[in-house]
Amino acid sequence: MLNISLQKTWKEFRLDVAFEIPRGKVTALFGPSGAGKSSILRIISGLEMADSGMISYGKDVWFDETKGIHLPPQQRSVGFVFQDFALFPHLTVERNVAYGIKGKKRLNELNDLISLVGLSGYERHYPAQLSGGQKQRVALIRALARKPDILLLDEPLSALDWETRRQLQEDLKSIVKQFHVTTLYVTHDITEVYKLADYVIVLESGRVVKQGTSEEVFLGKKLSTRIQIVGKVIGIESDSIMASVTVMHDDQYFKTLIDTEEVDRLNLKVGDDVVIGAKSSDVILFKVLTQP
Amino acid sequence: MNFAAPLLLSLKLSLVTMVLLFVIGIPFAYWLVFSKTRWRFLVESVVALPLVLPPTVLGFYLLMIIGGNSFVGRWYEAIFDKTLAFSFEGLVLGSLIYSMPFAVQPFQTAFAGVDRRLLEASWSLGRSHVYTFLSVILPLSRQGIITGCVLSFAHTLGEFGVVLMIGGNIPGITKVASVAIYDEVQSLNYGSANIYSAILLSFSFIILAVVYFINRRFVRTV
Repeated sequence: MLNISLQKTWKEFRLDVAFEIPRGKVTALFGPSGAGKSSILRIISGLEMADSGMISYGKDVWFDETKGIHLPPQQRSVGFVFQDFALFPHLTVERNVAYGIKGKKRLNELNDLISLVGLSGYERHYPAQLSGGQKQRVALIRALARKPDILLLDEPLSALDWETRRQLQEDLKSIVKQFHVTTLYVTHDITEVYKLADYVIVLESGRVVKQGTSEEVFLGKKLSTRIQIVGKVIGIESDSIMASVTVMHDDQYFKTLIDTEEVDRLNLKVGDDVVIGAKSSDVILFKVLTQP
Repeated sequence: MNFAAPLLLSLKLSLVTMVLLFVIGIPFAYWLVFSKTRWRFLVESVVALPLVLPPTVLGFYLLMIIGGNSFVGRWYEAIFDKTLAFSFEGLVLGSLIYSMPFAVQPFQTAFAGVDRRLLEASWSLGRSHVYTFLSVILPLSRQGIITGCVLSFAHTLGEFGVVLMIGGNIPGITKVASVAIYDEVQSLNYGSANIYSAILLSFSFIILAVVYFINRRFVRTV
């Protein structure tokens, strides 16, 4: 368990949060930009210092203002994945990944690590020769290579195009799972929260406003439905009784009919993030027959 | 008098100055970039002084500090049994101060230009400040480091006022090429002065051309 309680005041902004991050799970830190998400990551990693509070992982205290403890980033077992990758431009993929690895023995694992993110064959390439998605894979495996206790991801997919982002979401999930690493994932994309996170902490203007599972947080209750499609509203057409809401998800369109009053109640607009839920008993499956 | 001696002496002085400025300038520039003291601007101003001061002013104060009557001068003489002023070592000291901004400022600009997130990435990967400096900052600053070294070399080569003030004109010891030119002109030997001048001119031009060429190549490849 990573225990965090911290306060810090900037000129016109105050961060005051306290929460716990469950061990071995992926926790999303969700909120609009300017809510203080990235600052929290930087303070946890030791790159910035809080005015007061305490950060501890299990028995290890990383920061305790009252006792004057402030471990430098080097002494905290964290892996940090930056939004814009922060790969060393003068080092090859191989040397980037090996950068944080100490000891010759561990270097033998290098090839396994690189192939784990699907970059075998790119060992001697420089970052400038890679695509955005490949760069972020290097950044991810570089952070994991020294086997940190905590993995911190600062909007790792936001610099990537939509298609690459979707692919990386899947890979990220499986890779993080393989490492059993306690993960804190900063994002402002609700789809990523649904896809990746076991637990969500919602941040607004430097304060935690909600926390729980995605359903608890975003729907206010546990859904009895089993089928959920997360997406963006791309169209609303309505006549007098019903409205048809078109949602895009993973490049596919889903249309659902709801009461026009619901559209008003939810204040639905094109571009909003939404979840379509359905009871599993209402779902009919068909087997797709392949043409002979 | 050996005709080549002043030229060789100039080269020797420039080379020694360049190497020393590399050794001193790198950690100094690092301190200037990363120090959090609010008095940094004062230190920066002192380093930049030789850019605006007449060399004679610098030479005059140096002479006051290292001359035979000064504390430093007497102390040096007691230990090494010779004077610091009017010696090659004195010239090196003067050149260090005179050419310092030409080395330190390019180093400083280069270090400051390294993306801070790369340093943070290095620290969060468990690497110390020293390791980060050697593996990230230094390699990414090579263009600025080469520029600083070459400029400090070239600037020392063209030094005149400071040298004359603290070194005088002792053949083989402090008579560098720029002083030799002055000397030849004073004796109306325009031919010799012309040869020294032409050599210095070509040499300086070649050095600068090399710097600009290297800079252009780096811009292309990165």
